[in-house]
Amino acid sequence: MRRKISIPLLIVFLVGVAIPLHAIETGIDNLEVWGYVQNEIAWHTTSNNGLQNLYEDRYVSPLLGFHPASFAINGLLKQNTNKNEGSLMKFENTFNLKVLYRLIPGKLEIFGRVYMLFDSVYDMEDDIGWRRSGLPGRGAGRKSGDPRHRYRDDFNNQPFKRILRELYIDYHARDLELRIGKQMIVWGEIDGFRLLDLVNPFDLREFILDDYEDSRIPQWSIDAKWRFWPGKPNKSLEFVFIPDFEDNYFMEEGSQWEVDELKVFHGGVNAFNWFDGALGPLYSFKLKHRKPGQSFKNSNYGIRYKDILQTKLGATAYTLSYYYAIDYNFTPFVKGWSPVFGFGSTNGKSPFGLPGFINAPTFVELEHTRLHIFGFTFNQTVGYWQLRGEFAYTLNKFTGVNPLESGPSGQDMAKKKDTFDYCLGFDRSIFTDWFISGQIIQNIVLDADSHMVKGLSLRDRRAIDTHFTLVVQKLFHNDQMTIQSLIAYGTEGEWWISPMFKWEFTQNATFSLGAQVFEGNHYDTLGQFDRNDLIYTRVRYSF
Amino acid sequence: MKDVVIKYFVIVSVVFAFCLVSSASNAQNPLPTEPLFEVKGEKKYGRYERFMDPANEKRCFDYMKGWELVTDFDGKPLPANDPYIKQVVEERKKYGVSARDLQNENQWYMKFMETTDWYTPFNLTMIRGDGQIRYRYGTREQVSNPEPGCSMKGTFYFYEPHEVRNMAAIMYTYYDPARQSDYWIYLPSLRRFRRISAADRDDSFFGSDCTWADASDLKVDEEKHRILREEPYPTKFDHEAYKTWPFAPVWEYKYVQSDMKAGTWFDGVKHVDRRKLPSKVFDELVKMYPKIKKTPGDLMNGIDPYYESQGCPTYVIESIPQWNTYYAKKITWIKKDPRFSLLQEYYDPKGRFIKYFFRGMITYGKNPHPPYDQGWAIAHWWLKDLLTSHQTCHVPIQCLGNLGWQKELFRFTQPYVASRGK
Repeated sequence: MRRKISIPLLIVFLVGVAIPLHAIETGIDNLEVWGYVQNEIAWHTTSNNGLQNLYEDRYVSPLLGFHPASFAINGLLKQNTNKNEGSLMKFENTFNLKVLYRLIPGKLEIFGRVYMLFDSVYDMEDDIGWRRSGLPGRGAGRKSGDPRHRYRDDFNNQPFKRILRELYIDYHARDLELRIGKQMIVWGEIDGFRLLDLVNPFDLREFILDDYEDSRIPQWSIDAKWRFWPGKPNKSLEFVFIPDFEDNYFMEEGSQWEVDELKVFHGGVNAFNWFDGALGPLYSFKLKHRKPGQSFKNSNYGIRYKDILQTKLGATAYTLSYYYAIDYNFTPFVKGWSPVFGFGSTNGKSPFGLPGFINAPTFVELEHTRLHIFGFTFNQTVGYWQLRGEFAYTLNKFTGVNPLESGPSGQDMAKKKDTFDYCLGFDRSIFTDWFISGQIIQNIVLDADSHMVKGLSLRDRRAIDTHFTLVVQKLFHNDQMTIQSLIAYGTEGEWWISPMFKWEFTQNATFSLGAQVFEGNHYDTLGQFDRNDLIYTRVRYSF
Repeated sequence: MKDVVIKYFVIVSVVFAFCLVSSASNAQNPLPTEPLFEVKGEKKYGRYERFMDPANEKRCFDYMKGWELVTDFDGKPLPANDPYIKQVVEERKKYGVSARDLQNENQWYMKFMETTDWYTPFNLTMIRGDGQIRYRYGTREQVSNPEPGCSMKGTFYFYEPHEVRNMAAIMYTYYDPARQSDYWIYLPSLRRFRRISAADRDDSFFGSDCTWADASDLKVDEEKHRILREEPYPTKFDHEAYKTWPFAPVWEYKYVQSDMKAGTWFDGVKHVDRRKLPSKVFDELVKMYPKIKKTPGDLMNGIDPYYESQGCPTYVIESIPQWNTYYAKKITWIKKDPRFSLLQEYYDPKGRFIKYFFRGMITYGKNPHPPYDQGWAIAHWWLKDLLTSHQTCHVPIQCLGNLGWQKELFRFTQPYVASRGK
C-alpha cells in the first residue's frame, strides 16, 4: 500500500481545525456561511477477481454456443478487481460550503454551494485494478490496470461547473415561490428508488450509495411555485423549466461500481473498434453519442399540482404532475449491421433467425429520447400507519430488445413502449420508538415485447420487475446514536443489506460505521455487486 | 314489481340505518351539568375575571366550549353513567372546577399563548449526564384557529447546528377529538417532506427530553385526570433528581430590564439584545454546567428569578394516559390563578419517577411585574430524564404575537416551508 499523504486530506484536516464550533460568524448582516468536511473510508470485505466470461456466448449464439465477438468483448472489457479482502476501497474527502445572503430578508435571497470530492484511494492502494485479457490475436496475458485519478476526484477530472454545485436566487411573495439558477428540484415520495424524482440527472459513479444530496446533479433552471387559489394556500401549481441538459453521470469504464451492462457496452465498443482496425475495409464500426444541444427546443418542462385534501379521515397530501423530459439515460440504437461478420456490407440488415451469431453492429448511436412522464403521489395517515404512494406512467420509453429474435422491428435493439412504475410504502413506529418503513416497488413494461432484454448482454428482461425494501431504525441516547438497517430484495433473487451505526459524539461531529452487502447474480440490479461488499467509516465535522 | 318493492325496501332501510347511526354518533353526554359561573345565560368554567383582555376571555371560553363533550381516546362520547363523567361532576362540586377543566385551560394557555398567532426563536440546550452540551437553535411559528375545526397550524425551523439545519416541521391540529393531528417533517438531506403519525408523539423532539406530545399536541381526553389535592407550590424539593435544576422552587421570572415596553407580546425584548443583559439564572447555570457557556449566548439572558411569588396556590392533578405511551402516570401542579402547569412529574408502569418538566413563566405588559396587565408567557422549560440524567432547557429568546398571520396562512404550507430548506 502506498503511504502517501494526500493533499486533499491535509486541507480537510486544516479546515476542520480552523473552523469554530458554531456556524461561521461573518460579521456581515444577512450573510450566513455553513457547511461540513467529511472523510469516508471503505474497505473491501470480499475479493473480486472478475468473471472469466462476463459476456456469455449462449445468449448471443444459443445454437452454437460460441461467438467470436464474445471472445473479443470478454477480452477487452475492463472488470474491476481487487485481489485481497480488507484492501482499501475508498478514501474520500468531501468539502461542502454553503453561503446564503439575504438581500431583502424574507423576500430576496441568494444561495451558493461549493462541493468538492476527492477519493485518494488510488494514491494509497495498489490492490485495485481491472481484469483485462490480452487483445485477440496478440496473445498477451491478463494485465492489471491502473485507474488512478480517473474516478471521483474533483481535482483531476471534474469540471468547475460541477464544483459550484448550486447558485440560485430565491424570491418569496405571498402567492409565489420563485427560484432561478442552478438548483435541484425534487419530486416524489419514496426512498431508495426513483420513479418521479427524475427532474434532475444523477451522479451514479458510486451506484446508488451516495446521499441524494450529493448524487443529484443540479441544473440551471427555473422553479416557480404559485399558490393560485386565494384563501386556499395549500393548493399550488409548480412550473419547472430546465434549458440546461446534462445526462446521468455514469460509472467510468473499469470503475468499482460500473454496472455489468455498461461493462459489456464498453467491452463491445472496444472489441468492434479493434475489429475495425484489424479487418481494414472489410468491416467498419462507428459509435456516436448524440447529446441534445443546449437549446430552447431541448429544454425540459414540468408542471405539478399539489394539495392537501381535508377529510374526516385526516389530511391527504397529494400531487399530480407531468414532466416532458429528455431521458437522462442514453438508449443505444444499432443503426447498421454487418450481415456476415467481417465479410459483407457494413450497412446491411441483420438476417435475424439465421446464424445470427455472425452479425456485428457497424453503427451504434446513443440517443437521449423524449419522454412524457405523468405522476401521482400521496401520503395519508391511518392510525399508527403512514401510507404513501408514488405512481409514474411514462410514454415513449425505449426498452432493449433482442435483434436476433424480435423480427425486423427490433433491428435497432430498442422498441418504444409505455411503462408504469409504482411504489406503495408505509412508515410506522413499533415498540414505542423503533421506526420501520416498508416499500414495494414495481416497474412494469406495458405491452412488453416477448424478446425484451436488459441491454447489450441480451439477457432476458422481465416485463415486471419487483423490489421490496424495509428500513428499521432506532434512535437512542437522546437521538445522539442511531442504528439503522436497509434491506432490499429483488424478485430475481437479489439482496442489498445496509446496516449503519451513527454517533453524534459532539455538537458538530458525527461518526458512522456501516456496511454494504450485496447478494445475487451478475446483471441483476443489485446482485451484480455481489463482490463489492464493504464496510465503511464516516467522520463528519460541520460548522 | 317484486324487484321494485325489494329495491325500495333496501333503500329505505339503508336511509333509516344511516339516520340511526348518525343520531347515535352525535349523542351528547350530559356535561357540563353544573357550570361554575353563569353570566348572561352563558356557561363559564373558570375565573374569568383574571382575563384582562376580553378577547382572551372569549377565546378561552370558545376553546373550553369546544371540548365540553367528554370522550374516550378514540373520540367517542362517554355515556352519562361513565365513572369518569361522575368524577368530573363531583370534582366541580367539591373544588369548583374539575381536573379535566384545569388541564383543558392549561392546554389553552400552552397552545395559544393568549394570542391569535405567535413567533418565537428558541434555544434548545441539551445537557448530557457527563456535562457535555448540545444545542438546537430554531424558530416556532403558529397561527391559532386558522380555519373552522382546526385549532392550530404551526411550523418549526431549525438553523443550528448543521446536522439539523433547515430541518422543518409543519403541524395542523384539530378540535375533533376523533381526528389525529397532521405532521410533516421536511428533511433537507432528502429535500422532501415525510409524514409522521400523531401516534408517534412519544418520539423525542429533536433529541431533547421533550416529546412531540409535550411540545405541541395532547388532547384533553387522551388522558384521564383527577384532582389529588390542593397545596402551595413546593418551596423545597427533596428528591435527589431536582438538585440538578437550581431554580426548582421558582416558577416565575422577571425581566432584568424592567422598563421594557409593552407591545403585542413581550415585544420589549425585540429591541434589546438579551445576550448583553445579565442574568442570575444564567450565572447559576454556568456554575453548575461550565460548558453551557459554549451555547449561543441567548440562553436565559435577560431574566432573573422572581422569588416573591414562591409557594403560590396550586391544584395537584393526576393524569393517566389512555394510549400506549412511555409513562403510566403524570402528576401536574397547576397554578390556581391563572391556570397553567408549573411542574409535571412522570412515572413509568413500575411506579418509578422517570422525568420532570418545569415551566417557568413570565409576565409581560406595561408593568411586567404583578399586578400584570396583559398576560403570561413561557420563560423557559427545564426537563430531566431521570433514567439517563439527560436534561433539556428550552428558552424562547424573543416572542412576538398577533402578527396578522390569519391572512398569511401560506406560511404554513409545504411549498413555503420547503423553499427555506437550503
